[in-house]
Amino acid sequence: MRGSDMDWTNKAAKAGFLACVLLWHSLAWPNEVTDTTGVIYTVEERAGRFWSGVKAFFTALTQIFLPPSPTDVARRIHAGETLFWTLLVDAGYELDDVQVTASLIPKVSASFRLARELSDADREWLQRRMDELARTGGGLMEGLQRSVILMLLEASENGGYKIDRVHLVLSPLPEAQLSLKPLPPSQDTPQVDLSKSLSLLRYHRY
Amino acid sequence: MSMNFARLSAILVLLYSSLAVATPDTPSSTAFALRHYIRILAPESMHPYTEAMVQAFMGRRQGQPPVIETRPTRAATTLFCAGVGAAHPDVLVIPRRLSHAEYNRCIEQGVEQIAEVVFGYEVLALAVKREVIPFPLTAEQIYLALAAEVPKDGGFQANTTRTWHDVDARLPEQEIQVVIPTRKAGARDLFNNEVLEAGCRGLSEIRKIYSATERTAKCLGLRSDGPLVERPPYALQSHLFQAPAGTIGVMPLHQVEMAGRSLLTLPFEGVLPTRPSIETGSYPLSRRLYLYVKLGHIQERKGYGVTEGLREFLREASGEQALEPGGIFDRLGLILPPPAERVRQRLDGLLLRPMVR
Repeated sequence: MRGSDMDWTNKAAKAGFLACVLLWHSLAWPNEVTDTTGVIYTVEERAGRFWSGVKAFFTALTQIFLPPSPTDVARRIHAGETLFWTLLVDAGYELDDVQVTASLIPKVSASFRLARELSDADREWLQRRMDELARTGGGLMEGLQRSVILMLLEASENGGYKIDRVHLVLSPLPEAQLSLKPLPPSQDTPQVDLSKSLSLLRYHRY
Repeated sequence: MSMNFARLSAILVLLYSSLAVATPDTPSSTAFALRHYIRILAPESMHPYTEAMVQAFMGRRQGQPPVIETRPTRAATTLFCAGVGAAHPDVLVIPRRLSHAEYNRCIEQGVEQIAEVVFGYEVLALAVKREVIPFPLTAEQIYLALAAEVPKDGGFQANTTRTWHDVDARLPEQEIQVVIPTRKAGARDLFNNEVLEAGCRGLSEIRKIYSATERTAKCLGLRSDGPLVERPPYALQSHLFQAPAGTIGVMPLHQVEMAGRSLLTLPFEGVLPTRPSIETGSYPLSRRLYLYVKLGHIQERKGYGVTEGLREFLREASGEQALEPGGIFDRLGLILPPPAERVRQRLDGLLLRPMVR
């Protein structure tokens, strides 16, 4: 999540910088403007240069606000570009859809659905990876990602309900929404479990 | 680092001697304990270690011996976390760490103070006789060589591979011959988790199966047409010596070490089983074994408490006699935690310091 966001931000910053340079260059209007061959510009030529500079500036500006393409986001997730995507797949979730909203503040989000139950060995393995990640530390984003995986792990251990859908907002501000679904009641999964699990989840989220 | 270790050891010795004076091994009156024996929960694979702990404990003590109750790991953990009081067990011995969810459940049910001791690493090695040229193997390659059915063209087909080269073109033209521990052994449990399940986890055909039971059955179903032999852990080494050259033995590391130079270990997932690779967790075919004790069941100095002798049991299991080289766990073939960790654990055991998850 962080890697792709950073790529996008870098691209936007570069485009913005280029636009500013172009605009500044076109606005620089000394008394005697000559090109390298020593030809003096006419007023029309100066106006033309100015206009192309303004155009380039706004083209770059729109690039800043244009979100990445949905297929690009999906490709990055499928390729397991960051550890978080691979952990999410290891936790039993598969990419369901990618939503991209183009606006002044573009929004990119992805939904994952539960594709398989975890076995005890899967849980142990994932828990060990979480412990290793906790030891190596990491920033705020890694902490958020880790808590999402831990919530999924915790839910998979409880027989009373399941998290069947995970909705992740990737930008502008990272956010995770987990959709809980109670399992059909059976004799050995009392309803009490559901409320207990919900309170556990709340405990983890805040 | 060495200074820290020396300082820590000195503090430990001082503390131990002061505690030994302040707290006699038997509380002043055991009449206040609600239960006069210790209840231990452990899966079957942990029995050799649990029994050794009980024997060492009873060797220095009189009275009722601890009772070992056999439960699968998850069930044992659920029972352990069910509550505090004489009706609930005191000790849990499992081959993995308590998960966050289990720890939270424990706290929710009032089991708030738990001591945690890592009493060793169970390590398996892939061993071959010295005359064989070693070649590295991955979990996926071993799974594809030993599974009864292997993924092919989006489905599953009976495994017909004969040589390692059939499994992966990078491997030698050597016949697949593997000897593994029998089903009920703890070592087999480790082999199932870290080789077979780890090897099949990433395969797309396996990932398409929703049910964990069905997927596990596919991952653990082994071929019975010759390349695979099962032996009890104690017979693995002798079988490997008698087997044709090229046979790979999946056996406890201490057995390979005991064989001296006559056996070689193969790199697994590109890593050889060495002390540093085991301690850092980079060698995947190993696991830490954990002992958990409910601190809330320990008798206070005046003798009030739930279970008689629990303080001494914890001290014994985390103490020098158990965790040092030549101790009970070393004799059972476990790789011991590094010295600094052993000292820290002993200190935690003496001070009854609870774990933090």
